[in-house]
Amino acid sequence: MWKKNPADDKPELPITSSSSNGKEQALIGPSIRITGGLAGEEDVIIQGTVDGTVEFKQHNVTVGKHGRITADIYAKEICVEGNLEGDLYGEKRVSVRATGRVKGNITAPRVVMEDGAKFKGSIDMDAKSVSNETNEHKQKMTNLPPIAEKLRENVKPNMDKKLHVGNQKP
Amino acid sequence: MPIVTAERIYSEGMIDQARSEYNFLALNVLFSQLQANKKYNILDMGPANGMNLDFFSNFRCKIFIEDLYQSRQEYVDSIAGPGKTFNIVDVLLKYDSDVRFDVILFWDLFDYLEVEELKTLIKHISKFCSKGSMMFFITSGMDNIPQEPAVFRILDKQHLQYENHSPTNRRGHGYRQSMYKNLLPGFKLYRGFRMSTGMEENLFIYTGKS
Repeated sequence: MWKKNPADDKPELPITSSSSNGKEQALIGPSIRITGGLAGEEDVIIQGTVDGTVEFKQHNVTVGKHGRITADIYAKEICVEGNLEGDLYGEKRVSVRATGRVKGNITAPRVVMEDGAKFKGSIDMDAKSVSNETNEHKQKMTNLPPIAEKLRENVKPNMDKKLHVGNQKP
Repeated sequence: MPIVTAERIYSEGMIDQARSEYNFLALNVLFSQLQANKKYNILDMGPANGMNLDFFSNFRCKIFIEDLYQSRQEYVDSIAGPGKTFNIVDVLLKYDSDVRFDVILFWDLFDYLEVEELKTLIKHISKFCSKGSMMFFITSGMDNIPQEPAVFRILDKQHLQYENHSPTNRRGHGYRQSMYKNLLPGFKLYRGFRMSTGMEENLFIYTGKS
Protein backbone atom coordinates (compact mmCIF):
# COMPACT_ATOMS: atom_id res chain seq x y z
CA MET A 1 0.00 0.00 0.00
CA TRP A 2 2.80 2.41 0.89
CA LYS A 3 5.73 2.84 -1.39
CA LYS A 4 8.80 1.89 0.55
CA ASN A 5 11.61 4.36 0.60
CA PRO A 6 15.05 2.58 0.61
CA ALA A 7 16.21 5.10 3.17
CA ASP A 8 13.68 3.61 5.57
CA ASP A 9 15.84 0.49 5.88
CA LYS A 10 18.71 2.46 7.37
CA PRO A 11 18.82 2.08 11.14
CA GLU A 12 17.85 5.25 12.90
CA LEU A 13 19.84 6.64 15.77
CA PRO A 14 17.40 6.38 18.62
CA ILE A 15 17.81 9.00 21.24
CA THR A 16 14.82 8.08 23.25
CA SER A 17 12.04 5.57 22.94
CA SER A 18 8.50 5.54 24.17
CA SER A 19 7.29 3.15 26.80
CA SER A 20 3.88 1.53 26.73
CA ASN A 21 2.49 4.44 28.75
CA GLY A 22 3.77 6.88 26.14
CA LYS A 23 6.40 8.31 28.47
CA GLU A 24 9.79 9.11 26.96
CA GLN A 25 12.58 6.76 28.00
CA ALA A 26 16.30 7.18 27.54
CA LEU A 27 18.01 4.29 25.82
CA ILE A 28 21.46 2.84 26.36
CA GLY A 29 22.12 0.82 23.23
CA PRO A 30 23.63 -2.68 23.07
CA SER A 31 27.05 -1.45 21.95
CA ILE A 32 27.46 0.89 24.90
CA ARG A 33 29.56 -0.08 27.89
CA ILE A 34 29.52 2.02 31.04
CA THR A 35 31.84 1.52 33.97
CA GLY A 36 31.05 3.46 37.14
CA GLY A 37 27.94 5.24 38.34
CA LEU A 38 24.94 5.88 36.19
CA ALA A 39 22.21 8.26 37.36
CA GLY A 40 19.44 10.29 35.80
CA GLU A 41 16.12 12.03 36.08
CA GLU A 42 14.13 10.12 33.48
CA ASP A 43 13.16 6.53 32.76
CA VAL A 44 15.84 4.43 31.10
CA ILE A 45 16.14 1.22 29.11
CA ILE A 46 19.54 -0.42 29.31
CA GLN A 47 20.43 -2.73 26.44
CA GLY A 48 24.16 -2.29 26.89
CA THR A 49 26.68 -3.24 29.55
CA VAL A 50 26.90 -1.44 32.87
CA ASP A 51 29.40 -2.15 35.59
CA GLY A 52 28.93 -0.03 38.71
CA THR A 53 25.82 1.54 40.23
CA VAL A 54 22.57 2.54 38.55
CA GLU A 55 20.53 5.17 40.34
CA PHE A 56 17.24 6.50 38.99
CA LYS A 57 15.39 6.79 42.29
CA GLN A 58 12.38 8.72 41.01
CA HIS A 59 12.20 6.82 37.74
CA ASN A 60 11.95 3.40 36.16
CA VAL A 61 14.83 1.26 34.96
CA THR A 62 14.41 -1.52 32.43
CA VAL A 63 17.25 -3.93 31.79
CA GLY A 64 16.46 -5.02 28.25
CA LYS A 65 17.02 -8.48 26.78
CA HIS A 66 20.49 -7.48 25.60
CA GLY A 67 21.39 -5.75 28.85
CA ARG A 68 24.33 -7.08 30.86
CA ILE A 69 24.50 -5.43 34.24
CA THR A 70 26.91 -5.94 37.10
CA ALA A 71 25.60 -3.27 39.42
CA ASP A 72 23.21 -2.43 42.20
CA ILE A 73 20.12 -0.63 40.91
CA TYR A 74 18.06 1.94 42.82
CA ALA A 75 14.83 3.00 41.10
CA LYS A 76 11.11 3.45 41.52
CA GLU A 77 10.34 0.41 39.39
CA ILE A 78 12.84 -2.05 37.96
CA CYS A 79 12.15 -4.53 35.19
CA VAL A 80 14.75 -7.14 34.21
CA GLU A 81 14.62 -8.90 30.85
CA GLY A 82 18.36 -9.47 30.50
CA ASN A 83 21.24 -10.54 32.75
CA LEU A 84 21.95 -8.89 36.04
CA GLU A 85 24.32 -9.53 38.90
CA GLY A 86 23.78 -7.15 41.79
CA ASP A 87 21.20 -5.97 44.28
CA LEU A 88 17.92 -4.37 43.26
CA TYR A 89 16.13 -1.76 45.35
CA GLY A 90 12.72 -0.92 43.92
CA GLU A 91 10.67 1.69 45.74
CA LYS A 92 7.47 0.34 44.19
CA ARG A 93 8.16 -2.86 42.32
CA VAL A 94 10.75 -5.20 40.82
CA SER A 95 9.79 -7.51 37.95
CA VAL A 96 11.89 -10.29 36.50
CA ARG A 97 10.56 -11.27 33.08
CA ALA A 98 10.73 -14.77 31.59
CA THR A 99 14.01 -13.95 29.83
CA GLY A 100 15.54 -12.37 32.94
CA ARG A 101 18.50 -13.85 34.79
CA VAL A 102 19.22 -12.32 38.17
CA LYS A 103 21.82 -13.17 40.78
CA GLY A 104 21.53 -10.85 43.74
CA ASN A 105 19.11 -9.58 46.33
CA ILE A 106 15.82 -7.83 45.74
CA THR A 107 14.28 -5.35 48.17
CA ALA A 108 10.89 -4.06 47.05
CA PRO A 109 7.32 -4.06 48.37
CA ARG A 110 6.14 -5.97 45.31
CA VAL A 111 8.12 -8.54 43.34
CA VAL A 112 6.91 -10.17 40.15
CA MET A 113 8.65 -13.28 38.89
CA GLU A 114 7.51 -14.57 35.52
CA ASP A 115 7.60 -18.24 34.58
CA GLY A 116 10.97 -19.02 33.07
CA ALA A 117 12.80 -16.28 34.97
CA LYS A 118 15.99 -17.42 36.70
CA PHE A 119 16.76 -16.01 40.10
CA LYS A 120 19.22 -16.80 42.85
CA GLY A 121 19.41 -14.63 45.92
CA SER A 122 17.13 -13.17 48.54
CA ILE A 123 13.84 -11.31 48.21
CA ASP A 124 12.64 -8.96 50.91
CA MET A 125 9.13 -7.59 50.47
CA ASP A 126 8.71 -6.44 54.04
CA ALA A 127 7.65 -2.78 53.98
CA LYS A 128 9.91 -1.92 56.93
CA SER A 129 13.01 -3.37 55.27
CA VAL A 130 12.21 -1.60 52.02
CA SER A 131 11.88 1.77 53.71
CA ASN A 132 15.02 1.15 55.83
CA GLU A 133 17.11 0.25 52.80
CA THR A 134 15.88 3.23 50.80
CA ASN A 135 16.40 5.66 53.67
CA GLU A 136 19.84 4.26 54.37
CA HIS A 137 20.79 4.77 50.75
CA LYS A 138 19.33 8.30 50.68
CA GLN A 139 21.29 9.06 53.84
CA LYS A 140 24.49 7.79 52.25
CA MET A 141 23.92 9.97 49.22
CA THR A 142 23.19 13.12 51.23
CA ASN A 143 26.19 12.54 53.51
CA LEU A 144 28.66 12.49 50.66
CA PRO A 145 31.80 14.56 51.25
CA PRO A 146 31.87 17.85 49.32
CA ILE A 147 34.15 16.54 46.58
CA ALA A 148 32.00 13.47 46.05
CA GLU A 149 28.89 15.66 46.04
CA LYS A 150 30.52 17.86 43.42
CA LEU A 151 31.33 14.83 41.32
CA ARG A 152 27.80 13.56 41.69
CA GLU A 153 26.44 16.90 40.52
CA ASN A 154 28.73 16.74 37.54
CA VAL A 155 27.72 13.25 36.65
CA LYS A 156 24.06 14.09 36.15
CA PRO A 157 24.33 16.48 33.20
CA ASN A 158 26.90 14.21 31.57
CA MET A 159 24.66 11.26 32.09
CA ASP A 160 22.04 12.83 29.88
CA LYS A 161 24.60 12.89 27.10
CA LYS A 162 25.62 9.32 27.80
CA LEU A 163 22.06 8.13 27.89
CA HIS A 164 21.34 9.73 24.56
CA VAL A 165 24.22 8.24 22.65
CA GLY A 166 22.44 4.96 21.99
CA ASN A 167 23.09 4.25 18.33
CA GLN A 168 21.41 0.95 17.80
CA LYS A 169 17.89 -0.18 18.15
CA PRO A 170 17.40 -2.74 20.91
CA MET B 1 -7.51 -27.18 34.82
CA PRO B 2 -8.55 -30.76 35.68
CA ILE B 3 -7.54 -32.01 39.08
CA VAL B 4 -5.74 -35.29 38.59
CA THR B 5 -5.44 -37.57 41.55
CA ALA B 6 -2.09 -38.84 42.65
CA GLU B 7 -3.13 -42.41 41.93
CA ARG B 8 -3.74 -41.58 38.28
CA ILE B 9 -0.44 -39.82 37.89
CA TYR B 10 1.59 -42.83 38.82
CA SER B 11 -0.51 -45.85 37.97
CA GLU B 12 -1.47 -44.78 34.48
CA GLY B 13 1.98 -43.57 33.51
CA MET B 14 0.85 -39.97 33.19
CA ILE B 15 4.12 -38.75 34.58
CA ASP B 16 5.03 -36.80 31.43
CA GLN B 17 4.14 -33.15 31.61
CA ALA B 18 1.84 -33.93 34.52
CA ARG B 19 0.29 -31.05 36.37
CA SER B 20 -1.88 -31.73 39.33
CA GLU B 21 -2.98 -30.41 42.67
CA TYR B 22 -2.31 -32.12 45.96
CA ASN B 23 -3.45 -31.64 49.48
CA PHE B 24 -0.39 -31.53 51.75
CA LEU B 25 -1.21 -31.99 55.40
CA ALA B 26 2.27 -31.36 56.79
CA LEU B 27 2.57 -28.20 54.71
CA ASN B 28 -0.69 -27.04 56.21
CA VAL B 29 0.73 -27.59 59.69
CA LEU B 30 3.78 -25.53 58.74
CA PHE B 31 2.02 -22.62 57.06
CA SER B 32 -0.70 -22.45 59.71
CA GLN B 33 2.00 -21.50 62.19
CA LEU B 34 3.10 -18.44 60.24
CA GLN B 35 1.77 -15.23 61.72
CA ALA B 36 1.12 -12.17 59.63
CA ASN B 37 2.88 -9.74 61.98
CA LYS B 38 6.10 -11.67 62.56
CA LYS B 39 9.12 -11.50 60.28
CA TYR B 40 10.41 -14.82 58.92
CA ASN B 41 13.48 -15.95 57.06
CA ILE B 42 12.53 -18.59 54.53
CA LEU B 43 15.08 -20.71 52.72
CA ASP B 44 13.62 -22.06 49.50
CA MET B 45 15.84 -24.64 47.85
CA GLY B 46 13.64 -24.74 44.76
CA PRO B 47 13.53 -22.33 41.83
CA ALA B 48 11.83 -18.95 42.10
CA ASN B 49 8.24 -18.84 41.00
CA GLY B 50 5.68 -16.09 41.07
CA MET B 51 2.90 -17.99 42.82
CA ASN B 52 5.10 -18.84 45.79
CA LEU B 53 6.22 -15.24 46.06
CA ASP B 54 2.60 -14.13 46.01
CA PHE B 55 1.84 -16.52 48.83
CA PHE B 56 4.77 -15.35 50.95
CA SER B 57 3.96 -11.71 50.29
CA ASN B 58 1.07 -12.21 52.76
CA PHE B 59 3.66 -12.49 55.50
CA ARG B 60 6.63 -10.36 56.50
CA CYS B 61 9.24 -12.58 54.92
CA LYS B 62 12.72 -12.52 53.59
CA ILE B 63 13.00 -15.38 51.14
CA PHE B 64 16.32 -16.88 50.15
CA ILE B 65 15.99 -18.68 46.83
CA GLU B 66 18.71 -21.20 46.07
CA ASP B 67 17.43 -22.90 42.90
CA LEU B 68 19.68 -25.69 44.13
CA TYR B 69 19.22 -28.23 41.35
CA GLN B 70 19.93 -25.74 38.56
CA SER B 71 22.80 -24.12 40.46
CA ARG B 72 24.36 -27.49 41.14
CA GLN B 73 24.09 -28.48 37.48
CA GLU B 74 25.67 -25.21 36.36
CA TYR B 75 28.42 -25.55 38.94
CA VAL B 76 29.22 -29.10 37.85
CA ASP B 77 29.28 -28.04 34.19
CA SER B 78 31.30 -24.88 34.59
CA ILE B 79 33.71 -25.30 37.48
CA ALA B 80 34.00 -28.79 38.77
CA GLY B 81 33.40 -30.63 35.52
CA PRO B 82 31.42 -33.84 35.20
CA GLY B 83 32.61 -36.63 37.43
CA LYS B 84 34.79 -34.34 39.56
CA THR B 85 34.13 -33.98 43.25
CA PHE B 86 33.00 -30.70 44.73
CA ASN B 87 31.48 -29.39 47.92
CA ILE B 88 27.75 -28.80 47.59
CA VAL B 89 28.05 -25.90 50.04
CA ASP B 90 30.01 -23.95 47.40
CA VAL B 91 26.86 -23.85 45.30
CA LEU B 92 24.87 -22.11 48.03
CA LEU B 93 24.41 -18.41 48.66
CA LYS B 94 26.70 -16.93 51.30
CA TYR B 95 24.44 -16.28 54.27
CA ASP B 96 25.25 -13.62 56.85
CA SER B 97 26.43 -15.29 60.04
CA ASP B 98 23.49 -13.87 62.03
CA VAL B 99 20.81 -15.19 59.67
CA ARG B 100 18.52 -17.82 61.17
CA PHE B 101 16.04 -19.63 58.95
CA ASP B 102 12.56 -20.20 60.32
CA VAL B 103 11.39 -22.29 57.39
CA ILE B 104 13.40 -24.44 54.97
CA LEU B 105 11.64 -25.78 51.90
CA PHE B 106 13.39 -28.63 50.13
CA TRP B 107 10.36 -29.73 48.06
CA ASP B 108 11.40 -32.98 46.29
CA LEU B 109 15.12 -32.20 46.13
CA PHE B 110 16.21 -34.87 48.62
CA ASP B 111 15.57 -37.43 45.88
CA TYR B 112 18.09 -35.64 43.66
CA LEU B 113 20.94 -35.43 46.15
CA GLU B 114 23.47 -38.10 47.02
CA VAL B 115 23.56 -39.22 50.65
CA GLU B 116 26.90 -37.49 51.32
CA GLU B 117 25.71 -34.28 49.65
CA LEU B 118 22.61 -34.29 51.74
CA LYS B 119 24.57 -34.82 54.95
CA THR B 120 26.97 -31.98 54.09
CA LEU B 121 24.11 -29.69 53.17
CA ILE B 122 22.14 -30.36 56.34
CA LYS B 123 25.24 -29.91 58.49
CA HIS B 124 25.85 -26.52 56.88
CA ILE B 125 22.23 -25.34 57.02
CA SER B 126 21.95 -26.40 60.66
CA LYS B 127 24.39 -23.59 61.51
CA PHE B 128 21.71 -21.15 60.36
CA CYS B 129 18.84 -22.79 62.24
CA SER B 130 17.55 -22.06 65.68
CA LYS B 131 15.37 -24.23 67.90
CA GLY B 132 12.01 -24.50 66.25
CA SER B 133 13.20 -24.01 62.65
CA MET B 134 11.00 -26.10 60.37
CA MET B 135 12.10 -28.09 57.35
CA PHE B 136 9.64 -29.43 54.78
CA PHE B 137 10.41 -31.97 52.08
CA ILE B 138 8.75 -34.58 49.92
CA THR B 139 10.19 -37.91 48.86
CA SER B 140 8.68 -39.96 46.08
CA GLY B 141 8.77 -43.35 47.79
CA MET B 142 9.06 -44.84 44.29
CA ASP B 143 11.97 -46.71 42.71
CA ASN B 144 11.81 -44.40 39.72
CA ILE B 145 11.55 -40.66 39.95
CA PRO B 146 11.19 -37.99 37.23
CA GLN B 147 14.51 -37.14 35.58
CA GLU B 148 14.41 -33.63 37.04
CA PRO B 149 12.73 -32.16 40.13
CA ALA B 150 9.14 -31.07 39.79
CA VAL B 151 7.93 -27.50 40.14
CA PHE B 152 5.80 -26.88 43.21
CA ARG B 153 3.51 -23.87 43.26
CA ILE B 154 1.76 -22.89 46.45
CA LEU B 155 -1.96 -22.45 45.80
CA ASP B 156 -2.82 -21.93 49.45
CA LYS B 157 -1.44 -23.10 52.79
CA GLN B 158 -2.53 -26.67 52.16
CA HIS B 159 -2.54 -27.12 48.39
CA LEU B 160 0.33 -27.35 45.99
CA GLN B 161 0.28 -27.50 42.24
CA TYR B 162 2.78 -30.11 41.10
CA GLU B 163 4.30 -29.84 37.65
CA ASN B 164 6.54 -32.51 36.24
CA HIS B 165 8.25 -31.48 33.03
CA SER B 166 10.51 -34.55 32.72
CA PRO B 167 9.72 -36.84 29.81
CA THR B 168 11.80 -39.66 31.33
CA ASN B 169 12.44 -41.19 34.73
CA ARG B 170 15.52 -42.26 36.64
CA ARG B 171 16.34 -44.29 39.72
CA GLY B 172 15.68 -42.56 42.99
CA HIS B 173 17.62 -42.85 46.25
CA GLY B 174 14.66 -44.39 48.00
CA TYR B 175 14.89 -42.20 51.10
CA ARG B 176 12.55 -43.38 53.83
CA GLN B 177 11.59 -42.00 57.23
CA SER B 178 13.69 -44.65 58.95
CA MET B 179 16.84 -43.19 57.34
CA TYR B 180 16.37 -39.61 58.46
CA LYS B 181 17.83 -39.93 61.93
CA ASN B 182 21.29 -40.34 60.40
CA LEU B 183 20.69 -37.97 57.53
CA LEU B 184 19.24 -35.10 59.52
CA PRO B 185 21.10 -34.77 62.82
CA GLY B 186 19.64 -32.06 65.02
CA PHE B 187 16.22 -32.37 63.38
CA LYS B 188 13.27 -34.31 64.72
CA LEU B 189 10.19 -35.49 62.83
CA TYR B 190 7.30 -33.18 63.64
CA ARG B 191 4.71 -34.41 61.13
CA GLY B 192 5.00 -37.07 58.45
CA PHE B 193 2.38 -38.34 56.06
CA ARG B 194 2.49 -41.07 53.48
CA MET B 195 0.22 -40.33 50.57
CA SER B 196 -1.67 -42.94 48.61
CA THR B 197 0.73 -42.37 45.72
CA GLY B 198 3.63 -43.56 47.82
CA MET B 199 4.91 -40.00 48.25
CA GLU B 200 5.93 -39.01 51.75
CA GLU B 201 5.66 -35.46 52.99
CA ASN B 202 7.77 -34.63 56.00
CA LEU B 203 7.96 -31.74 58.36
CA PHE B 204 11.00 -31.73 60.64
CA ILE B 205 11.76 -29.39 63.48
CA TYR B 206 15.23 -28.33 64.55
CA THR B 207 16.01 -29.22 68.14
CA GLY B 208 19.79 -29.02 67.99
CA LYS B 209 20.06 -32.43 69.61
CA SER B 210 21.54 -35.28 67.56
